[in-house]
Amino acid sequence: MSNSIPLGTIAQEAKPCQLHPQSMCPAFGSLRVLTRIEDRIPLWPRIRVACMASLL
Amino acid sequence: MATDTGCLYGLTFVTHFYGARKSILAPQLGTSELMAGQVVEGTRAAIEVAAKEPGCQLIPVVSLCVAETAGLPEEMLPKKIGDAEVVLVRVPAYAIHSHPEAKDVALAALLKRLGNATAPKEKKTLALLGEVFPADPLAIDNLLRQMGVEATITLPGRAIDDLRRAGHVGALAPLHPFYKETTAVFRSWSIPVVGGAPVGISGSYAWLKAVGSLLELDPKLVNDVAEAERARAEAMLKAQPLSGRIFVTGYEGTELAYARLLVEAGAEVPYISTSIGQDPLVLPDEMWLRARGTKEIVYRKSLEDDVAALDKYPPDFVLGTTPFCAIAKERGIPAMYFTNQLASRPFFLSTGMAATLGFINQTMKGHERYQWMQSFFEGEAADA
Repeated sequence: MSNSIPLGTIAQEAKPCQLHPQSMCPAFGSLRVLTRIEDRIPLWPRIRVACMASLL
Repeated sequence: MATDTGCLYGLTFVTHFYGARKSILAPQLGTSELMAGQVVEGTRAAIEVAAKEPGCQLIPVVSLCVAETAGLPEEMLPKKIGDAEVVLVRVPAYAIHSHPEAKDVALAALLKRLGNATAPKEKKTLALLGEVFPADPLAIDNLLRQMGVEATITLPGRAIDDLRRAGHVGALAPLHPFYKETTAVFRSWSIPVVGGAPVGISGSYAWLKAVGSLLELDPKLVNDVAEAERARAEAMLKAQPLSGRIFVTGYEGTELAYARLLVEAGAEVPYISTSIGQDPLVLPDEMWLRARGTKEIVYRKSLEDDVAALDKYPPDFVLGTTPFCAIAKERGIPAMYFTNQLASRPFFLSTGMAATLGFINQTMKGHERYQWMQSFFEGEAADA
């Protein structure tokens, strides 16, 4: 004797998938805080994003 | 920044867009580096290059989803290299769900490392906590000095010394309700925390009194300043009262405070939504608003929540995100982008109240124009 497992019950009761948070990547918040600091912090005001593959 | 190339590109772009004018140093983390397990090696190499910058004092290491998933153990990174402190800031999107909360994580990490809590307390000094319009801390500082406060520090700020000094201020005043980790750092230093924020008539009055009490300022002086500020705010409100139904639906984590100001000015705010999670720091504003007619407050909201509210409580004006404002405008409802329109003007105390309410009053007068636009485009569609 095998028991049947009803499929789809959860999906029928669930709300539609809501995937639009309307916000940018959370990490942006941390960058706002960190790039604000003007003291001696090496965020390279002169150099573009550095690819450091050669250092690996 | 320890992340993959796509996130690095996107975040660098957004950071430049918002005027930081600073680039970010990052190791190359593509599939081959991840497969080879070189996240730690690459990040260490980037730190070493960063430390070569003359006079370098601080190297924040921002670790995002890819590096966090691959594994970036803090003990594998140097704590200090030369004179520079190396501070790991873990902000994977799957764990930190909104950018306001990532501000909190970054600031808490910096303070834990740099805050000097062993120096003698500066008892009449207040740390203001929150990223606000530049005129706001000046207005707040000006009023607090009249009450006997000797100095204020604004966090997050430009100077590393402010982070060190924050460890021995007399009290902390969070202006926004999502700095829970940062607030916990101050509490661990036995620094008292002022509740609420200087928003609106009642909020500002209560906040000024609370600051006076926590910093043990002259009660008569505090009372005189608080009463005078209340009178200014009341006069301002009388000059430009609000009416109508407004939605406040941003993602900045400050939405409840704005809604509170609008309600106090006479507006009906049945629906508020925000990207941050529910927290005890938000509770006073939530209770205040619910007691004054707000029907729904949605935390960690989605666009679908906001759209459903449009049908439920048809508003006269929407302060919202770009996609939500577009939907409201299609229905002929005046709508403004919350972040750019409100964060770009003062908000706190009576001066901020005047700037914010003046703008909203002016915008709500545009209702007929929006209706005309809607009928114009409906006509175009019918002709086509």
